[in-house]
Amino acid sequence: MDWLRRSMRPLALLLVIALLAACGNGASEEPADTTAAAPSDTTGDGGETPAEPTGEPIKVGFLVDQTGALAAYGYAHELVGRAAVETINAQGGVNGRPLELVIEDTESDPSVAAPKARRLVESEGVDFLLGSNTSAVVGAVVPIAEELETVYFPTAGGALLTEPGKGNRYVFDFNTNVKQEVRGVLSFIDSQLDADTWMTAVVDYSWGWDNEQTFVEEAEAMGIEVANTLRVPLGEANWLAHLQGQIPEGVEGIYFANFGTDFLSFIEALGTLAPDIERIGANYVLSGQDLGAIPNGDGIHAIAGYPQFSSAIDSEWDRQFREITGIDEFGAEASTGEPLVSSYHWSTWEALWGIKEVIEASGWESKDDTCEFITTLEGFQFEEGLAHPEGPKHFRPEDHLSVKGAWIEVLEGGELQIAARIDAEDMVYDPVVNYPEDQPLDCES
Amino acid sequence: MPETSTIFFLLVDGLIWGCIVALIALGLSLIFGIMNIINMAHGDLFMLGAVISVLVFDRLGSIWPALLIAPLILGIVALPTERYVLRPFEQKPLNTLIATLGLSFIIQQLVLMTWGGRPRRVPAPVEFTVDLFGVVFPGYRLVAGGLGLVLLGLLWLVVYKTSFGVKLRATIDQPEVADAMGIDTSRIRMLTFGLGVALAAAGGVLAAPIRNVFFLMGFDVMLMSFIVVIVGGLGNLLGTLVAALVLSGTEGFLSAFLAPVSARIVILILMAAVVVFRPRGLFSS
Repeated sequence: MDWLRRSMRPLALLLVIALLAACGNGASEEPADTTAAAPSDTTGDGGETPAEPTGEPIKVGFLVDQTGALAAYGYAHELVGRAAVETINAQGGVNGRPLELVIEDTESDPSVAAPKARRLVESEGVDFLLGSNTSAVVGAVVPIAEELETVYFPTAGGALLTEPGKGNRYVFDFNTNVKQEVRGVLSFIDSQLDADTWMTAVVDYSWGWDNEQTFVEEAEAMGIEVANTLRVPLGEANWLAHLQGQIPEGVEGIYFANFGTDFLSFIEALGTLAPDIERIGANYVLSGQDLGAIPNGDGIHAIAGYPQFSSAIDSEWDRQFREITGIDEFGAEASTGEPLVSSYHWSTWEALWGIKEVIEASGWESKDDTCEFITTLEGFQFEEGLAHPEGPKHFRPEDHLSVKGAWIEVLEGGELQIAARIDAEDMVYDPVVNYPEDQPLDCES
Repeated sequence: MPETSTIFFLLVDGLIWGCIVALIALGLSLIFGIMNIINMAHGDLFMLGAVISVLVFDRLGSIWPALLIAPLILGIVALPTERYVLRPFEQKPLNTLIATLGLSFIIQQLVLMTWGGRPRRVPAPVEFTVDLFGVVFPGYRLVAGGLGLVLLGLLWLVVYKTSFGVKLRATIDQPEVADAMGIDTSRIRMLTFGLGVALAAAGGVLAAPIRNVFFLMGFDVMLMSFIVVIVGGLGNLLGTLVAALVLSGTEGFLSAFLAPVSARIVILILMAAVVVFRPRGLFSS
């Protein structure tokens, strides 16, 4: 039997190596089934089959959080991104040329993503950069986009790219940012909730800080008292220990910015310490949660850039968007029934369609026409449709703010209802940068 | 100055968490003590225990059976893993560090690919609160701490009151002599690895309703376990237990006065001081 034992060792090692290799490769392989069939007619022109796209592909470098802490978010972005490209190509491509995704795994880590973004542009020759739900990744890629003169569509939302030094002329995020979202939340608090004294509880990193700081500043400007602010390390599974003794007497409401495990732990702890307090969360805190299983969940409010339940939008475009991407009416993946951590996934869809629309409007043929693409995009009005099921929107030319509305969702009986629609005008603020003035491009001179 | 009730709450909460950390750290310490394996995958075994508790809850409606199922399944799977994957590297700590880091990566990615990256919550199997000196305390935490102590007691019985325990301690203290005395040290190593893994799995099951279940949840626990093992003395079981309770209690206590991150920094400074002044741990002879 000794020969058998001896031979088992290298075999076991080989198995380990093979598994490691499989895991490593898995990050860049296509999921077995990520797409739904493209609709037979989304153009509304009578169902004529469009010509198959030909010629040199237009390449989009797609930064996806396939692994790491935000892998569940990355999964939704990839699902939607692949479906968008398949649909666009099925409809004849972009000016007759195919659209192609070149996918890289960010590992939810800016130190990994930044060199990959550079490689996508310099080695793969991509024409545009797209993605990552990780705001730290976005922060790392923004200066690279400027340096390599490549238009970049982040999909993290939270980053305040409209602030001095944070964005630039090449960067456009279809999502609202923290400042808009907090303004939307406060307009809802002011008009709908009977609570005057608030506190904040946020995860201890830039997204949480931005939420806390903006909430405090804007609330005080509106005469709403903020009695305490609390920051808890990201990934902390024991919020009870952090909240204990931190909810001052008289606090009637809490604005929170956390998600995933932090959110679950926070809500459970709050249910123990202050079950009757008003709770309103930052963008998408309810995303991907098993809504019926959230402890003390009834009455939790949260702002959302795109509602999780289709009943909130109730439009043909939303239904088609969900059908094509395989997302059901409750925001779950139709094939599995599992809640999808959708978050900003819709902006991946809209960015890819936006690339198509702006290329066709600007006459873009290659990366040499980046200037024309940007100047066209800065004045472009995106209309509601299959390309933009969330609704109409545009980028404010000065600071590239995505001017769009939002929804306030409320959890009742395990289902999300819409408590209010927040108009774009209630969320915008005066620009503090002017990218076209500060960073003029060649074609403008 | 925080209120006394807050300090008391955080201290008790820290001690309860210390009981669970002790389970995990003792497994880590046993494995290092007998095989010189620095098991970087230990936190992921804790995570697997928690994942199994969710699966058991989904099917049976309770996590209690998982307290038996998870340690049993993972303990059994651990036996061939030790024999055929780790054995060639044993007694070479740096090599085992790399090998178990690979195992950690495999476990995390397999869970991500099959179970997904979405955090799950498993409800506490007992729902009640206890008023301790004016502080509302979730009852399950007390139950989990108590069960952790029971498991630690059982481990003590196994290590100090059974023939397996005698052989285990002999293999830790004098492996060559134990071999010469006819103890099947190969089998003892395999079973000890299985025992260490089972302890981590049991810790994962107990922790699941307190800490939500996520494929990366093992990292924080592993970090604390390593601190505990280093402070308590590598391979020193009693030192590990004392260090787990003292460090978790101290961190909880400090959290009443400092920001949570600062409390963890103090713990890391304590560990660094131990490494400098007592490199073999506080409780080593």
